[in-house]
Amino acid sequence: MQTTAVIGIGNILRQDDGIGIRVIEFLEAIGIPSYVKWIQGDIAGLDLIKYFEYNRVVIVDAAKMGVSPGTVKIFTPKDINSNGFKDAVSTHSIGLKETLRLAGSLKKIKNVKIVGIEPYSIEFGLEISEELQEKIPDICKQVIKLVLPELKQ
Amino acid sequence: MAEQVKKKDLNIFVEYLTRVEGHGHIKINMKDGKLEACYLNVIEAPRFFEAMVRGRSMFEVQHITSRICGICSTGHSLASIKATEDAIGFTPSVQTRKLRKLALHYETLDSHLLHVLFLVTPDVFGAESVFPMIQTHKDVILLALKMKKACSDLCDILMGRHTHPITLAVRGFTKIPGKKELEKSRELLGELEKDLAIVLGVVKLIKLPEFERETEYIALTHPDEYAFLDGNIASTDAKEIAPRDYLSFVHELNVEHSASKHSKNKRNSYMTGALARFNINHKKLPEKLLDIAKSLGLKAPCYNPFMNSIAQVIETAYCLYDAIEIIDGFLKNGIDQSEAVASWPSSLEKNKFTFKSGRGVGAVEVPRGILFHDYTVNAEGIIEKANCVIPTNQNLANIDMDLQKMVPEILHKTKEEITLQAEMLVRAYDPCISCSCHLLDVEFVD
Repeated sequence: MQTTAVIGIGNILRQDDGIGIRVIEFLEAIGIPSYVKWIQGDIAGLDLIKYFEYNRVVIVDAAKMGVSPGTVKIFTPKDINSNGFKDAVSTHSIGLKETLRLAGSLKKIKNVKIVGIEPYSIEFGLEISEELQEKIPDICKQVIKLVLPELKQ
Repeated sequence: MAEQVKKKDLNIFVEYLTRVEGHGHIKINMKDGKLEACYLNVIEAPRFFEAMVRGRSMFEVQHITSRICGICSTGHSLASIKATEDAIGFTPSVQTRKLRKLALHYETLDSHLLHVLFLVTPDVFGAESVFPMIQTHKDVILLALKMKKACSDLCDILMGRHTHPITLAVRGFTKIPGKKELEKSRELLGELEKDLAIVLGVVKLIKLPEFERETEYIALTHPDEYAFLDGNIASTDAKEIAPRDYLSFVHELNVEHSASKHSKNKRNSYMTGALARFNINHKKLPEKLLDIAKSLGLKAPCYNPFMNSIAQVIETAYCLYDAIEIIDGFLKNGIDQSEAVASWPSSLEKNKFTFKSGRGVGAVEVPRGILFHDYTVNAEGIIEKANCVIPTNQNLANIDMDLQKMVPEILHKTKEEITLQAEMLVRAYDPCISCSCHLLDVEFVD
């Protein structure tokens, strides 16, 4: 039974913005462990809420965190300062932040962790920047660490 | 009482237009009773994806173009696929056409419901956005999320996943839904049908501003159905044309105040989208939907752009009922699994179409209006030139002209009321800035 969802978010047309998807592609190819559902979330917003029902959710996304490019930070929705939220949502893609806020307000968040990756470049282009490309295996290791503890259960 | 006096000077600048994708601003500047500036400015990403598809096979580009927009990804995929099929002279099967209609219906349902329940209702209930409504109208928010999940699940079943379809291919579908999947889809549609009655109850509460400006309306039109997937391009001002001739309607121009190109045809602007479709194709709607439209104050021809949201509600019902009919047809008559195609054509298929250098155009109605993909391919099926015209760009000139007529008509209102109404007008068109970045912008709690 799949009890964990790992979701990659981002737009693969904008270089490092697509890192979440690239990480999922990498991990999906490895194909373990079986209780994990790997999801290429692309630029989904609100549609992510349905995955929050999983016992454990890990979201991998490029994030502007004000740290040096390539830095990986793992945090929970509660660590994000909601004062910075704009009441600005669109039908197009209520972004991840708004989705987390909405889901949180509706008490639909159980166990969500976010793996944020500071991008090098978000210019138009299908390729991840070379610098970030090199870090993909390391990022994957960190994601796997987050989902592995369940093996002991 | 001073506010009741018509203003002679007015300065409005809405820097970040809420509830609209990406950044944009509305500028209204009036001096001595003369409107000096009154427009919407949106920043459009350069048409970079046209460069991205160049040099690629026409059999794979739908996977790139579907990323242009998160909510119209099916529409972009289909416009792309249709352009390719036009280029190679391929006519899809009746079953493929039905399945594609389903795909588009699911996307339109999803988008329209979200627009009406998440963007229009906050204005109705006097809330800044959906967030305060979690406290005041939680039932509406939960209903919206429930319906959205149903649409998402329907897309997952038919297209492999919701946001960027993977089963849509040139020539057909790579996977055809089986009996169980059709039954599950029918069940989800049945739930949506029940929920629609509640939506209509909410929509009845909506009071939209009274404003009219007749313009040219452009939409696909089809002799047998309310057109979304196929048809010629119709205009209220001109004779209908074939999709390949779209450039004789879509005249793009640069304007000083906008980073995006504007479009016009016979007049200085035209409108595309739900209201344009309703005005052009309303006779193709079932009587019961026309009655609902009438009960919501919508009757063709309608020149009030705010009513675009009501036209979306009627289309929601249309897409839902048509989807049910299509699924019921498959459940009754069966579905041919042997029609599934591989992503890439095999050598056995060579006699079904010809690769030759030339041009192909795909026109599809997406939630915000008519969308065009136009490819020039070489004899190997490689794209040499591409053009993509999205609905929002086509509507920009019309939005500006609406604002320029509306603002002088409401000068007796307070500045705040004028600002809100201008924002509501722009939101009625639900503009999309395509190709935006989706970075998570994080400020950590100290």
